[in-house]
Amino acid sequence: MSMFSIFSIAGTGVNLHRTWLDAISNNIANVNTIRRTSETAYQQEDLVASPLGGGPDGIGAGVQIDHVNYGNPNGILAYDPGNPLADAQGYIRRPDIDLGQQMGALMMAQRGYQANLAVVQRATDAYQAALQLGKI
Amino acid sequence: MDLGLVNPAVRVALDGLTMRQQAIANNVANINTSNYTASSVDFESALQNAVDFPGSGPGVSANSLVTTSLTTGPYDQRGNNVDLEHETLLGTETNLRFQLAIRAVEGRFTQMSNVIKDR
Repeated sequence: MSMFSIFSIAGTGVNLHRTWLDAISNNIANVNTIRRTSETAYQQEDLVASPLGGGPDGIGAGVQIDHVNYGNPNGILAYDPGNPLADAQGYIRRPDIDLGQQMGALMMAQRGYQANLAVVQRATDAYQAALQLGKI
Repeated sequence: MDLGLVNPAVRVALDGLTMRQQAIANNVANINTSNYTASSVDFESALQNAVDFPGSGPGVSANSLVTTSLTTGPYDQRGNNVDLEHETLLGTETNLRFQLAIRAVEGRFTQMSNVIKDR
């Protein structure tokens, strides 16, 4: 039985959810990023995660990030002739990001982050009790 | 000479409770993972059985008393069946029971220490 393995398991969860928060905040920061029609739009970043096997005692070792899924490169064509980036026909490319969906994901990522930190806190209590053994 | 300081049942319980904490940590880490089935750790009934009927089975000290299995709870639309409330409650309970088991060991150590010091 490996020592303090709960920290490494919960650590993968904390790490995943923080990375997810980073991706979401990056998406929200770029929700109004406008590009020329000759360029690709800003592509929404979505994390794809999978369980990490091969942990101690036949229990999984946490979670890992498989890859990042990028959104629609075409974005949304919008007519805005006043924009300095507009092409000859007056079109620009907006990113294809659903802000409501991103806000929902933000809540999930935040709660997941907190839940994993709560596990770390509980493990700390348990390990601390075990470390008191022998102090008589 | 084996002083029998730590009751083998308490030892199995400490191992089992630690593994349960690991399983909970793994389930919570995968709370947002698609197609994930939560796992659970059971040892109470097997340990009870080993204590009640010492002659049969693998004996009280064996780690085979601790078993890991997949849960059968309902899945959400992502194919994930981790129940965060259940995991949190179980984690808190497991933590308290772990500390209780630690206290049982501690009491035995104190007892032995007193005997050695002749008090």
